[in-house]
Amino acid sequence: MPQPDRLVVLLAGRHSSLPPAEIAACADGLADLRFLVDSGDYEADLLAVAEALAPTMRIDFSDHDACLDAVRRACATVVATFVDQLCPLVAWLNARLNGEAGTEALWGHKDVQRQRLRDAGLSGVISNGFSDGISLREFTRSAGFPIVVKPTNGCASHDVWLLRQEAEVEEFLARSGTGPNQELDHMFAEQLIVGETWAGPHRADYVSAEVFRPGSRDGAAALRFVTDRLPLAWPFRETGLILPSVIAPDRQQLVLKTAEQALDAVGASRGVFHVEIKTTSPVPEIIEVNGRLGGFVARLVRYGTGERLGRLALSCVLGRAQNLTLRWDRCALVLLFQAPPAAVAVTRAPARREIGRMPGVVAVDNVSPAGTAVDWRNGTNHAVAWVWLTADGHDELRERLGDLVAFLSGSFTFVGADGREVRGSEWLERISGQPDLEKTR
Amino acid sequence: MTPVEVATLMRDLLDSDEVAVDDSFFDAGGTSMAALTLISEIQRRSGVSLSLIEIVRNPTPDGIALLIAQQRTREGSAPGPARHGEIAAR
Repeated sequence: MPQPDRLVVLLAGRHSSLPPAEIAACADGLADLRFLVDSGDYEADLLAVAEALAPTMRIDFSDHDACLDAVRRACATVVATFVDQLCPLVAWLNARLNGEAGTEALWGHKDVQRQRLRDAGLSGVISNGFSDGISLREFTRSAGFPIVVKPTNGCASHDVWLLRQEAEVEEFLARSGTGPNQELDHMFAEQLIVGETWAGPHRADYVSAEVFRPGSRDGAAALRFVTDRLPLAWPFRETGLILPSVIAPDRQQLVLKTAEQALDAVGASRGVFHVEIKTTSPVPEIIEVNGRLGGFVARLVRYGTGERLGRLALSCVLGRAQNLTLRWDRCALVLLFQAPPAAVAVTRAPARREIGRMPGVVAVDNVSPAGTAVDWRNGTNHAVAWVWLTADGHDELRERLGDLVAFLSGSFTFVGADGREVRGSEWLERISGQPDLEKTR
Repeated sequence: MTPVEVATLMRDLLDSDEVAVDDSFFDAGGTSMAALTLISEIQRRSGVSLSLIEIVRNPTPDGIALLIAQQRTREGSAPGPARHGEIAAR
């Protein structure tokens, strides 16, 4: 009788696009699962949950040779992760385990990835790494404004800055604690690309594509689809994802083709990949390519179709072709309610159960209570409430979203650094605008 | 334990006033860590030991009560049949 595949999944922190419990449920009957947790940086909760689900080893993730030794001792056939920061390590391990071409230089190195996309003729965005204020100022002189500044290995909009003029460059340098000759660690800058709102004026100028690749010889994806987005909160905090996409089918195909070309360019052949794309004409522009499933997507798909994407993701990681067609019974949306950019603390918050009573709400996570410190630089995952909505159709979903946003806007209050109440955000006004679906076609 | 009793336990654990017998523990705000606490409490009250993966696959009070009843049946103790379809703990 053949031995089942031994799958080792690396875990760290709270922000995994597939939670450990879901990974274990999806791996059941598919592979013999082991977890690897970073001994140098883990939370007690994560370790307790991992140990309750599967045999778990603690290894220092900064010691790559020790990790390789651990996965070999575990007799792993393949290694996976759903945590952004661990993608380079997982690529490095898989390259040594089964001789796959290494992509570790591309995950966690947005500057290297951008260069690869430019070299492949898939991106026209000018970018450059910088190590101090002098090189950043030089870049703004050559590229012009506006520019985006972000960590090369960042995720979820953490510490991502929009710089529109020289004064904002100086503010960024000052707030980064950077003197004229101090070095900035692992940051890079690139031109800001503004897209069109293909999914309607109340939605974002970008989308994402999930592509499931089992590594088959013909390169065919087992599943691929587009996810629409709500408008960003200043400067680049995400506020929501919507499925299924309302973008016209020919434009969805254009997005998916761009995503597949980007994956080919970075050598991503086996696994599940998340590509963020600006909806620009005539050709979409790639924001970034990630070596893992997109955040929030698996749960949205479960609410909308009942399917568990995690199982397909693990099948692809294991190199097993298993096509899946998503049949949408309902539309699903997650709202990531962001504090105003000037806010420093929550002063009043609704109870989780109050939010749960709003029409269409199926789940509420992470409601920040009064007193919680907020800072836009913490990025997307520090939204003050994560609310999951469903509806029978997109019109009903939009109506429910409007009601929910109105409720949250009235229920949360925030204070700024000067002690005064701060309110309002452009993204809320855009969501509350009138639908203009004609423009999407 | 009946579905109503499991729903009441979930409600207390999640500090929620609304957990129905067909509500998912995780959609009601439960985390994996909270599920471990739920498992401990079920074991203390009923003597039945469930695994986290069983809770992930059967996250509703209905499903969990059925698991408890099945395990008791397997262990040969009084089965205490679960009652399904009740609206509880509102």
